Amino acid sequence: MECMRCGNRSKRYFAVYQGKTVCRRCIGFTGDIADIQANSGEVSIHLPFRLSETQRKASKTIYQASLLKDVLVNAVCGAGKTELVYETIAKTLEASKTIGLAIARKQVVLQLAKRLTGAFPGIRVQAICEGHTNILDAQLFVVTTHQLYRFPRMFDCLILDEPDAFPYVGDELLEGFARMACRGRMIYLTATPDREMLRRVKKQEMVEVMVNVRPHGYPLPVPSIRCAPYFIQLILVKRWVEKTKGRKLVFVPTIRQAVFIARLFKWKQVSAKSKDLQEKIDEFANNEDGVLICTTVLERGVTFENAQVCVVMAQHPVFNEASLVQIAGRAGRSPRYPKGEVLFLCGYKSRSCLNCMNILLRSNKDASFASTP
Amino acid sequence: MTFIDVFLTEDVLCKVCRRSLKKVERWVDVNGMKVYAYYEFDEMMSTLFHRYKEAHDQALGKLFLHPVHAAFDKKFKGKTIVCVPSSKKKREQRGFMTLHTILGESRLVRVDVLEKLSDEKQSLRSAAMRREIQHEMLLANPMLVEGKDILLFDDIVTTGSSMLACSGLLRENTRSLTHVCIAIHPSFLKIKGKGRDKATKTGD
Repeated sequence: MECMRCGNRSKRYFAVYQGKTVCRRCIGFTGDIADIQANSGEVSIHLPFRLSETQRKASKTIYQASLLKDVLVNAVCGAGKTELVYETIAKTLEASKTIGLAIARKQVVLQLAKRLTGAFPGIRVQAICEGHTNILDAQLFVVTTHQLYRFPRMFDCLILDEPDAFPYVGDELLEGFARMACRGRMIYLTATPDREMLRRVKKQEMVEVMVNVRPHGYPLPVPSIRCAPYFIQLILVKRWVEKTKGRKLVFVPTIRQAVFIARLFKWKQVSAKSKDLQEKIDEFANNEDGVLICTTVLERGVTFENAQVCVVMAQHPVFNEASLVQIAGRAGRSPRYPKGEVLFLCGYKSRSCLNCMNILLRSNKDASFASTP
Repeated sequence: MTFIDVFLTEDVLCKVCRRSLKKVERWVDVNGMKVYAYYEFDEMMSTLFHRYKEAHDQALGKLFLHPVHAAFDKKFKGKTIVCVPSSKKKREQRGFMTLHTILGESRLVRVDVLEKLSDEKQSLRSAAMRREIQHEMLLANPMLVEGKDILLFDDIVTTGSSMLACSGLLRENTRSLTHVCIAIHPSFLKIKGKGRDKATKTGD
């Protein structure tokens, strides 16, 4: 027996109520089913900038590969992963097929829906996430992974952005929703693929498209690691902030730490609990010399021009390899300021810190062989 | 809580979730009514009730009176339970009676004498509109409650309008009236000084 919404096969989740079998794993998801309208005619892409040669090559490869197998787009942070799938979106829509984008985080869904509305002027794009569930008919949907249950077997192609991000990663229910929503091919966009994905690539169940270079062509900022006791780290971070120019993002492992350091140095802090999260982010984005203390809430999905990054207590288990790669990826994203500074302060050099450094060094080394499907 | 409650009934909630529920288990003053409440209606309770009532997860029905089922019967021994009604449309949609499932194995006599005429959901109405509910409740069979000790039972009390309306209909016909709910809005618990003392003196 398999649940049609979440793909559950475990007997312990099934119950019989009034003679009907229900799946108690996804019973709480009670919303209406969406309606995808087929597109007819050509789809034009409007981009305010030109794609680099590497991006164009990768775009083509992704589309061709997605016709045959699932695709893993393994692109470094800031490589323009979303732009890489524009061609696939356009061609799939032109073929009157259905395609959707799913992302774990609500904020990214709303941002991406705006970007796609601008990029595909003739297409009705709709964001579906918590608080935005009234309109359920469109041609192109951008949804949170929690809302994928509204699309049972509806997508010929489903693009899953950041499958290694919380809350999607490790959540069987959300993975089930994604699996059941897609009747065709999946495209995974990530900078930090997990072992399972790499295993599938090795088994040739999935095609890997690698993009190791950012559009501006500069190498990725590699973190410098400094080991020191905690209170010395605080002095070092204070000195680093005073010395460094541009926007400074200071990552800390816990909300308590964020509040403590913010009080100590009178800087602003944000965490998932901040009610005015977006306002603080906007304020930081507008202040060219601002300092912001944050938890992993800002590790991905945000871009600040001329941002420099420091991680306090980088050895903390919260900062795994993928998380640190993403954090380092916040620096040097803009073509105007392609060089960024990344500093990891830690009690000791953890495996995650070293692995993160190795990944970034390897990506820079491989950059000359970019786009090797 | 009795020996049977603790050792012989199985909880459908894990221990961690059970501990996160905020117990009240006392008489609370709700707009002049004494209401016995078991839990505070916080976020966790709201999630559980949403899953139970809106997602129709019947298995959760057992958790609300666990582990005080036997104690509930003992405390309100001799009373006849009347449940605050849901609309017909809602009942048909759910396919089960939410309050009856919560009461589960309770041995107290139950009678369904109240009917809700409107299909509109109370939680979607404004506070002023909620008071209108007194015109939408009907005592269908007063004979069944006449001269009896009645226990008026509801799951959630947020403004107390539904319970007050039902209480108004029943009061004239019954010998005594006791109000019991599973979860109560925290705003009623804040004014505990007056309400609680007054209620405890006259309570069961």
